[in-house]
Amino acid sequence: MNEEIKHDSGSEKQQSTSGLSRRKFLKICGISAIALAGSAMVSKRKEFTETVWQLDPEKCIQCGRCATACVLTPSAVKCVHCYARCGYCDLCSGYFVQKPVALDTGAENQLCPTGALKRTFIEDPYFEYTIDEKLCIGCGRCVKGCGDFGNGSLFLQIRHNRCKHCNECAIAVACPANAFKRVPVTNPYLMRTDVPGGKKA
Amino acid sequence: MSILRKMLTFILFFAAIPLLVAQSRFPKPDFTNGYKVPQVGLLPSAATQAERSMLPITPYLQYAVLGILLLFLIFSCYFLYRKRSRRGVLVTALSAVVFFGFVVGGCICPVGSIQNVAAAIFNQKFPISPVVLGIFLLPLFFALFTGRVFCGSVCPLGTIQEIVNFYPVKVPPLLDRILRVIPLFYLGAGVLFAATGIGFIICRFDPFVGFYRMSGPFFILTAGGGLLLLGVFVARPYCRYLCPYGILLGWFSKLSSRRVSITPDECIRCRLCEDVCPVDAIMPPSHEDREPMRKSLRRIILLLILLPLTAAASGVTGYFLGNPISLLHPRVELYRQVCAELAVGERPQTDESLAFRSSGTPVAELQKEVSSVVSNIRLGSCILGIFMALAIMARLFDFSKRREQKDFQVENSLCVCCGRCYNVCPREKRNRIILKEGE
Repeated sequence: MNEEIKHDSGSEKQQSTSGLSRRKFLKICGISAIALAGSAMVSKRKEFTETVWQLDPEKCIQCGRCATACVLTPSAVKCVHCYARCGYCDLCSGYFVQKPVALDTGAENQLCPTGALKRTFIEDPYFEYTIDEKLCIGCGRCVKGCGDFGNGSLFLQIRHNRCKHCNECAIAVACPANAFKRVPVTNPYLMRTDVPGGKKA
Repeated sequence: MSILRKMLTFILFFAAIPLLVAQSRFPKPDFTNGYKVPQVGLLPSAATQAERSMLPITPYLQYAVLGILLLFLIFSCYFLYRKRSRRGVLVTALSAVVFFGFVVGGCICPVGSIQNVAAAIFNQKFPISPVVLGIFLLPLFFALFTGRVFCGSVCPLGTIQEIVNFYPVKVPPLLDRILRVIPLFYLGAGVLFAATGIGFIICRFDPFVGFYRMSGPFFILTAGGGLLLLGVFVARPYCRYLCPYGILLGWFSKLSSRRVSITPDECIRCRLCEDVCPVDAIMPPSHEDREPMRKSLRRIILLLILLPLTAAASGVTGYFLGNPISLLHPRVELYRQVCAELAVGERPQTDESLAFRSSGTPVAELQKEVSSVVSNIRLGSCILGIFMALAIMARLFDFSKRREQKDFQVENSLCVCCGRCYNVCPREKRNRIILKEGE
């Protein structure tokens, strides 16, 4: 083995004696160019951190493409509920279709295609709404209903435990509202936690 | 009077509704049974154990990915240059597929990171991370000293093609040289599109990442399958005729003094290595295909004369191609849509225009943005045109340059360091037997 290696390096030296100086010069040029470009890029930059994709609920128009454009099926986008914003209404515009036959849990009355939005009775006339994350497909129908007629307490977010962290997010490409952006990994969710007209929850 | 006042109150009440809406349509109820409003989880501060899993992988883990890439590159150098072991290279490659492909999920890879770097250079607002920069630079740095070791034993895209290549056939040299221009254009387009904000096309049309994620758009999976089918016969079709990072690695590895040395001692001219090389990187000794000095000199002079002309022509072509290219930009498309709708006074026809028009941004602002985007794209594609011409001319120059070499030697910019030539060389085999007997 030793012999082989010796021979190897010997032949290499012979090969490269002719172009050694030029090659070395170019190599030094190459390394310094990389170093210069890299340091110039880093020094000018304010944000030099790891990032992940997230969608801004304030820009979202609930077009429904989150459910279909993601490379994953079901999508990495799911619905989140900010309870502090919720009005706990009996007639919830995020839960019921526009003219429900009855205010009950019948499938024909529900807006959610997978029954992921659940409601539990708290006290008359209030109901708590929770999302069954396993069932949610991120279509945003409840978000639209809640935003159009309610308090806007439901919103969509990329779930980072599901997200594959594609370099170019497929939903970001499809998003009509330009709502997707790269956010610092230390603050990976753009939550709606504020209550309009009230203090932060 | 009282009726008037009532009416006024009524009108004021309805006028106040929008204000109330901006607050909260339905106030939070005051519960009497002691119900506590749950917090929104997922935030790092308020996360419980279950919710903590919803946080993305931490920066430390991403640095670990960078470290593991470095380890893989070191291992591949060790197997390729120290051990001269094709099997070692293959094992490294397969473990890299398992780690970077199936565990990490494919992103981010050095091939795609070209675009992050390009976007970060031309757009100050684009966030780039140390890990992405490292992943882009590390294989290039290795290429500078050891050749394209990344291609042969780390790149998951390369390995998936390497293992399906059951019946290798040779691509005719002329066709090979023509097809090898495609990655140059792909690289150029990738950089231009990333820098001007059109999108990351290299990632969008990555044919194999869907296999690692075991899901993806139909046409990408089909294209990936097609490429793999082609890869059964034509070795590494993506690497040779598409991969933009391969171009960069090729440029850098030209400066590398270390190369795959086919035979450990005297070459017996059996040409077995030339046959087995998947990327036709093995060049025969120079006297075998030498043409008269005058002919090659004349060709080089011709190329030098043509150089400024071609550069200027393709620069101008690039400038005029800027307009059609800019139509691919989502903001430009949006602007055209909005203008078309406003011209006939229509309601928003697409989701994009609906989103824009309900956002309340004035059209003039969009117009300003779009005009700057279009001028950027025009300038970019003009520069790109000149650059393409220079790159292609440099390649032609390389082809017509007189080579001086005694043995069969690998061309560093093409060699993907797979180590196949080690296994077929009869001298190497003999050496191994001698070594084994010696032990």
